Amino acid sequence: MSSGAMSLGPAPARLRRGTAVRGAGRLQMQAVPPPEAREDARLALTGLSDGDLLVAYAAGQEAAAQLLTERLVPRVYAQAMRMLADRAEAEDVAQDAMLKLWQVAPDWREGEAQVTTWLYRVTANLCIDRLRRRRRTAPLEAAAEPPDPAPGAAERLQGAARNRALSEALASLPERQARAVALRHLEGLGNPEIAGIMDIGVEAVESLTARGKRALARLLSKRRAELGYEDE
Amino acid sequence: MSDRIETPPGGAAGDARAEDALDALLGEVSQRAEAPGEALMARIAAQGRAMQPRPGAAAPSGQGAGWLRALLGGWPVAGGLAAAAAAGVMIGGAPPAALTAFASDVMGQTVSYSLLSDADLYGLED
Repeated sequence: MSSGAMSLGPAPARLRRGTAVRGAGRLQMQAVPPPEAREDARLALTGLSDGDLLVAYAAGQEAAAQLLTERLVPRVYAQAMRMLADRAEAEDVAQDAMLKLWQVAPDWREGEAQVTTWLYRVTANLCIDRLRRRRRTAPLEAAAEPPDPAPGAAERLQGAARNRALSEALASLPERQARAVALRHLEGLGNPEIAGIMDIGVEAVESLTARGKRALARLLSKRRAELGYEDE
Repeated sequence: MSDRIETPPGGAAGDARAEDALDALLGEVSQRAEAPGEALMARIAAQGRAMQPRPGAAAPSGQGAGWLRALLGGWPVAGGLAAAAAAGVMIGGAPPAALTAFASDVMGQTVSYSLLSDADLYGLED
């Protein structure tokens, strides 16, 4: 995801009529661009930070929805897949997270929060909700995949099985531990950022992560052979 | 939920193996970046366009008299109320003769007070 702020710089005269411009610290709309300038307007938007792009979306920039989708959905979907190991559920989470983003866009103030941080929080919460429901129902079942003769198919299947095993173990953890472990060890976030996302102190994050990892190790210890880690 | 979880076999060595396996598992899963399908991307982008605020559209807010118009039922109802109020003021200030006669019939007697005696308040007299 791009994080750099952008100056629209010198744009063609025909483009200036229809692009987002900075004004008093916010993006403001000028006129609707002519059809032939849409691609140029899209190119001009691509350099915007996520926050500026969201403000442009709220200001009515036509290309902004598509660009935000292309930029953010792959990350949201991948995060949901790592936590849930289920395509259908990950798709639902991605759609729900983006729905919340569209809804919050008119009230978004650039500089108050990072879009990515906000999305990590929303996506993690949506995934935790689904893990909680999964605890109350049946354990995750492996999707019925047709035999795949392609090279690397066995490795992919094992990778998917390991992802499922981790997701099942995460569902067994206390929710705060599961959230902290996922953000730290699956998303690679730093403890201060996790503390901001979870509204707790850094020391609490360290404690939750350590306890969560110990619990996960115990939960998965009997499955080492099944998951192919016995001889490693 | 209880945090009590079964201790792995093998004592400290078992703990270490379990932690190594977990580190390997977390490392592997963290590298997985499955891409969303085109249908999902198209669906979400369409949802975003459908929910996008339109330039120049009135923003919903509680400012101004918008809340009052909404409370009264919109412009048509508010306009009707305004017309009725204006008619009431006119009738009160310069009642038609028929209305005065009707009031006399019903009440028996009427008494008029004029704060602006003889003034043609609404320019109704030629």
